[in-house]
Amino acid sequence: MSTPPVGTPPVSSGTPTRRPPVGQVELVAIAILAVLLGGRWIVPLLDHPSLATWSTIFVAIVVQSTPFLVMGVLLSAVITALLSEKVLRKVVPRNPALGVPVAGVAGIGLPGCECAAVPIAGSLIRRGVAPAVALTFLLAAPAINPAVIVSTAVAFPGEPMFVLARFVASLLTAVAVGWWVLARAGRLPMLDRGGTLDPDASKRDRFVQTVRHDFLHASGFLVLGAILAASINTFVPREVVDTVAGQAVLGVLTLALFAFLVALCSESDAFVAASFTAFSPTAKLAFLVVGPAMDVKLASMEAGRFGTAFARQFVPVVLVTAVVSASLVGWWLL
Amino acid sequence: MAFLGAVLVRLAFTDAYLRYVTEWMKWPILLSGVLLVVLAVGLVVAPPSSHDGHDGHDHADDDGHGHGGLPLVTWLLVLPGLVTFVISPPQLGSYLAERRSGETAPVAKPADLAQLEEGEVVDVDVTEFIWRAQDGGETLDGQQVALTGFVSYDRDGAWYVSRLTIGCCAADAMAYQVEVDDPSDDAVRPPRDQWVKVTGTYASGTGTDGTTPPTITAAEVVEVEEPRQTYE
Repeated sequence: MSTPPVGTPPVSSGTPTRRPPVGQVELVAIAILAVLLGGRWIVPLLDHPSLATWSTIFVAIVVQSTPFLVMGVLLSAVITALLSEKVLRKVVPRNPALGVPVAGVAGIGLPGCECAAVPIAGSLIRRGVAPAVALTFLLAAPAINPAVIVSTAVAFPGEPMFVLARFVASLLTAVAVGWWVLARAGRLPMLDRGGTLDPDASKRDRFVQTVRHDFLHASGFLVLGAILAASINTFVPREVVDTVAGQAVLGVLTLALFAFLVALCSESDAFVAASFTAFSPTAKLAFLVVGPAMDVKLASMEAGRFGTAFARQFVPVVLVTAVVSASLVGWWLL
Repeated sequence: MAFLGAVLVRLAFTDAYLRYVTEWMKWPILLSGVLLVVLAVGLVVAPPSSHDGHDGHDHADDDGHGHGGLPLVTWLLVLPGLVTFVISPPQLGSYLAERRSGETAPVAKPADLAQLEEGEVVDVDVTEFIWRAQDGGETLDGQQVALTGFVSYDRDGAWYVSRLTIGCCAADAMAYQVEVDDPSDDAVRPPRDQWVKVTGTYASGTGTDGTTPPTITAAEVVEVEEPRQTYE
């Protein structure tokens, strides 16, 4: 657990928005102690299969995502602290309109879950890469990397067109959103909560600082997303989803919404999609295109990183684009 | 941070992590856990000397999330650890399997198939059994098989030997069930979530359509210990 930095003056600075440094740490410490000591009395109250299932899924999502988040944070620290301007300028094309598709294709190179992508995109922006380019990468990386392609092929044996459709539709979504961000450049209320870096600090200090800062900022939102996703997963029965399987349009929309809410990791969602036997292929495709691009976990993390105002615009646009692109590609290829 | 790190390390050292994620995640979990602990300890033991200057920056453009730029949400980090310690979430079982019943997904061909031998009892995975049934069921005809799984029920009171599979983590768990038909007079109805080994033969023609579970006609049902890895 972190403690407030030593040597900060007490509340005297008088900034009204600032919370007193005392409080948070102590309160949480007391709460933890109370729960640990009182556990014996609390547990029987919580002893219900649905709650047990919820907590298993909740812990599973966090345990599963944390290594990927750590990996993303480390990579983002490398980008922030170690990559020189010169290298960065060589890799990223100067013209952002051109950079968007390049970033989309570059997403193939990051075999990880979507949680890794948020800090990486953040650090790219911090280093002066155009937001449109960084966000395209954020959308493309979890959807079209080799691990995802392989697992999709395994989950849909004998249907290579389905794998191709997923790849095309996801890439299309990422690039389209990238260009949208570019077109709205300057009018998007984007905050960078990346924090400021001490220009005098050594590379090693900068590296450690970035890792700590990025992790602490992203992880809380990851947990929040996991709470929501686990609740949907446990308490919404599958039959509710299955009732609309017959309708073409409603089926697509339902699976897209479901993908947003359950927040599965992109390497395994193909197996879940394959289990929706009653749905049309296009609806399954929508599930696979929406999931990696946007879900509650990602929305929560992006709101934390880039500000709520930004997420309020970005999240719906990504959702709509993903559904439209999945429908078009599904109609064309499947 | 250290708390979550410590929890991760602890999960990786005991086999508890198998309840939540797949086997190969062990080392990534352990590594990231250790890293988090080291980072947090570093923060306490040796606060970076540049911190005062850094703090000064933050206050200039304070965006409302308080001390040192740490958002309140960060405290949620302790929640997974608390839940792990207090509730100690179990592996998923019949509750989920019963909610997910009614859907039997087409099973992909298992990577390694059991060697079937005429006249002998062969241990077969639940998923493999379902795959063979969906494949037409000929390979199972007349074959004595043993299925291991936990017990779940449906609304009509029929019981199933079930297994869950996970692709990535417990959030994407899928249930696979084989209905148990026990024709003997002293047919047992084991309690929910009890692990059992069911020996018997495939009931021809069941579960071939890929949407309903196949049936095993049981010759013997034995209660067994829960395996180390409960997911298939």
